[in-house]
Amino acid sequence: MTSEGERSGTWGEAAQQWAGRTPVQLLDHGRPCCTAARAWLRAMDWSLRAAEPGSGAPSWLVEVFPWGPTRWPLSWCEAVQSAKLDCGALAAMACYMLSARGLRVWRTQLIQEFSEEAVTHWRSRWLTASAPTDWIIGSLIYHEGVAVLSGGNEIGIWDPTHNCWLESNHRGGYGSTLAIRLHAHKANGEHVLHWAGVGLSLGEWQFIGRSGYHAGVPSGNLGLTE
Amino acid sequence: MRNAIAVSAGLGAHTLDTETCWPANLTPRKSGFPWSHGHTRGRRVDEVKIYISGLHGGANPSPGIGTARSLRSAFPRALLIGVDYSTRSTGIHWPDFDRIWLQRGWDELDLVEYGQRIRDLMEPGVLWISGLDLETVWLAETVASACPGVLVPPPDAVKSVAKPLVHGLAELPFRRPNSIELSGSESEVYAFCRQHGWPVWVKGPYYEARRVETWSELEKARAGLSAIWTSGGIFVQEHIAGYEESIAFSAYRGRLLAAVRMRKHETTWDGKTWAGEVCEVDEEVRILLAKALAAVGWTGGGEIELVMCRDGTGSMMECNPRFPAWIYGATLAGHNLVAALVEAAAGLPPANEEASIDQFVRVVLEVPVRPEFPLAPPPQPGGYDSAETHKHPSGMPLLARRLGECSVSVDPVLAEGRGAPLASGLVPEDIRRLDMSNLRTPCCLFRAEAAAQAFSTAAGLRFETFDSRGIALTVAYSVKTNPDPRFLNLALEAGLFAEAISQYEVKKALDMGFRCDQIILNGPGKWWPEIHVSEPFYAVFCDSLKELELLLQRLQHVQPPRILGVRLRPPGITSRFGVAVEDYDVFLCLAALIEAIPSSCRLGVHFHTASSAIGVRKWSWALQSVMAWCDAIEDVSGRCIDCVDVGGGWAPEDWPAVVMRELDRGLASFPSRLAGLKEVILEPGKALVQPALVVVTGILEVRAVGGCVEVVVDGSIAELPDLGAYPHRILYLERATGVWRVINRGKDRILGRLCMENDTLASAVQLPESVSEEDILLFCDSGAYDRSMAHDFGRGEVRHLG
Repeated sequence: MTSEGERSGTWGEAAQQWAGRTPVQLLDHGRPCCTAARAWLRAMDWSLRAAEPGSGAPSWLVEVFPWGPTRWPLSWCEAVQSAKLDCGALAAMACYMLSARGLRVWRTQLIQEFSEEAVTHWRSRWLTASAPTDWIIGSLIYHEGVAVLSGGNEIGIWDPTHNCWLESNHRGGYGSTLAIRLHAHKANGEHVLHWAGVGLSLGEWQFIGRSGYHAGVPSGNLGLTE
Repeated sequence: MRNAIAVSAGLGAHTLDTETCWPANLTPRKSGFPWSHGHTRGRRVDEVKIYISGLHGGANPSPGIGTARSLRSAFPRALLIGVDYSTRSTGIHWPDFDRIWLQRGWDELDLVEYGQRIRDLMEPGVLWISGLDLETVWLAETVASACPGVLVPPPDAVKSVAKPLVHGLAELPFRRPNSIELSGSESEVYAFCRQHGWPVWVKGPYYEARRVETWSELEKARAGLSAIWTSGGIFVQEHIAGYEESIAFSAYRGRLLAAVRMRKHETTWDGKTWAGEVCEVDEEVRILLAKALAAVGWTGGGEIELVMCRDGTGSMMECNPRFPAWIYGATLAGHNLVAALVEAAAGLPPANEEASIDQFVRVVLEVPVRPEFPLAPPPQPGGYDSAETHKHPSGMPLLARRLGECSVSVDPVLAEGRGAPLASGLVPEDIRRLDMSNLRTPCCLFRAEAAAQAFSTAAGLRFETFDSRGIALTVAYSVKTNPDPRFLNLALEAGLFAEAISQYEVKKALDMGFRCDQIILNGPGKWWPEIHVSEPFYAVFCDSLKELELLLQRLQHVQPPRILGVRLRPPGITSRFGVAVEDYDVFLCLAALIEAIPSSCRLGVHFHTASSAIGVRKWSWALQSVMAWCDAIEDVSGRCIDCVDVGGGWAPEDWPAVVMRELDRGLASFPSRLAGLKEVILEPGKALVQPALVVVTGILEVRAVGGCVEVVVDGSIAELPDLGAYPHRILYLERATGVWRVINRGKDRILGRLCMENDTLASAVQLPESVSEEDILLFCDSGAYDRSMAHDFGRGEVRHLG
């Protein structure tokens, strides 16, 4: 873990770099190649959701497409033939399939904290693959998931990369989520969804890290505005 | 913060407080006594003596160590005495125990004398916290009523949480999984397994659960658990997938003292907690739990095991009448349930806890062995009981057997009676009428009426959903199931088609009078051996991309079948057959080949997995999954799927009602899809013919073996090769009197004639007392693969190949 001073310094840089970032989108060629890719994904999801009763999420995805560096831009037909996919591609696919199941979903952007050792390792992996490392700043990473409406205004946040539902109380330490934004094309910040007791305004970055965890970081949206 | 309180509990002549088990003249006194752990403040309890049983700290741990750690945290100077029944119980070496009271194994103990010794120990101020389910049951029944210091639930409270119903907690907002007692008939148990699908769990009444995937595994698990739970109570429970949680609670004389919820983050292979997160119990659950515990006057710890779904619904799998082994994790999180119990029993005011963490993990630790209890010698290699000894060093299987033998009732409600029926119903009337006078056994009897009825029903099948959508229904008899000409004739006369997997079967069908356009070809070897057939078949379903490719090439020279398609292997179904569409390249290639199928051919998709093997629920899902793939194929190839061919494998009991219901459900799942579907083909085999043949065996020898009877019959697994796949009804005919009997469950065995170790035709059956070499045993439900796969082993012949 980094020191408090390093954290606050890193945070400012992260806020500046990631505030205006939007979730990555898979391209559609508008031809049968991408139609086939999406048809295959839907059928796979139909078949394999039986293997995950109780979970309610496409757990199979990362089993078929292990997490790894991805070169962008990426289309649907390229994605389904990729050996590895990064968190953005996995989230885009998960979002599509959950939506096809009839669920209400939002692409979700996350800022998470890991250790120096972890990010050094990832930076090396991505550089070796000639993929950008702009998702890593200090010990913080930019990450993507999917918010799924579970009833009323309650949501769960699915992390297809780690094959888990994120824990809303995991707000400090290795793998914790410090900031989050539910992406919406037309969001005015008035629509609030609840994630296990945490209110999240659509379209707005929100710091959810443990109180006092980030020294020198203001509460609220931390200046992570577009 | 936990108040720092010290209790002077000098044990002399005391008056027992009627509300607690504590000497009334001993008053707790407050004292500052910070405890080094930081999460609680320890209190001095001079001379308090607490016996804690169930100390094993292995992969299948008991709660004794966690209980001791929790108590040591709250009462640093309490005298903690560990109780166990074997030096293999590793927790006897845990340093928090001041003393170990090691008893001989449950198989040696005189339970009456041991009960008296415990009663003698239970002076005022002395407590006993049991960490062993069956010891709890035994203490509740025999000791606790006279010893308020034995902190176990009353007998009725224990019964109220008996598995599988846990009826005492029925008000809690959790579903109770479906279950069936193994004392039910074999056919009922098999129907339960089919309905819910494999895996299911075979469970003992107080502990021990075995996951089984097939009927033969279920039989093995039943045999294993029956050896432990001699008084019965074994049941089968449906498998529930989800997130595992537990609620641990502590109550005293019906008053809920504390409860916590724990979500398992890591588990061992056996499902034991290895890391967890502790949180509060929902208020609704707490209120209902308090009410339920009050109703039965619960005393002691308890654990409710839950499986939760993502949508918040949960299933209550069972309730154990003791603290869980992870109980110290709750203490670390500021919920010292064990201390709360002791406080209530001792009349101490409840202490506040300070929670510094809400998550815990378990680690493996090495601790010194107590010199007075050196390690037991290593188990002898291949020792017959080593596995049981290591899993249950506290000897619960031994106690289970003892309780089964003595007057202490494990649970009379669940007691499994001997002689339970193997199958429901009586001896079928048509079998009674069969002529058994001059049979040369082993032989096979044909139940003509049953067979005719089955084929007639198949021919008359109508399906409203199909009619309303203009979908034709075709039924084809699966020749491989049993190519007996009598069945093929019935199929032909009933207007059924024939499904063949080889050209031999094609020839057989043609010889019997079927036309080529009444034959459907399936399987990987459908063109073997090469036989010239001039007419086109009704339908051909290719088993691979290569076969489809070659067939498309051949179609330039021969007449195509009316329907041409492929067998799909949907993801999630284990099979060696069909096109594995989960590979994206394979999927694309399939779509391209389908585009190349001549428009003169109708496009079909074949799916086959035996619902009798995987269960109806899973089969239904697989069917819907195939329909989803049909939809994808239509999207990509631009061709409409005209025909869906559904292979057989249905149990006779599920045919046709369950099959049609699930087909209806499958079609309803895709109301806007498969718009071009014009025909559904069903291919029943065993559903039609399994009940129609009976294998008759003569008794060669009757042996008395250790109070049981074994008979050797002239039949064998050569005549009944599918015996382990599903339960077969067994009948007994006493030839001299003509008396028929249905063979029920018991302790006897029926052995085959072969000199093969696995040639046991039935174990755990009850043969008549008058069993004799003159009589015959009939194995019903042998008309399908038992017959078609029967072989000549042991007859001095070798089948000629080629």
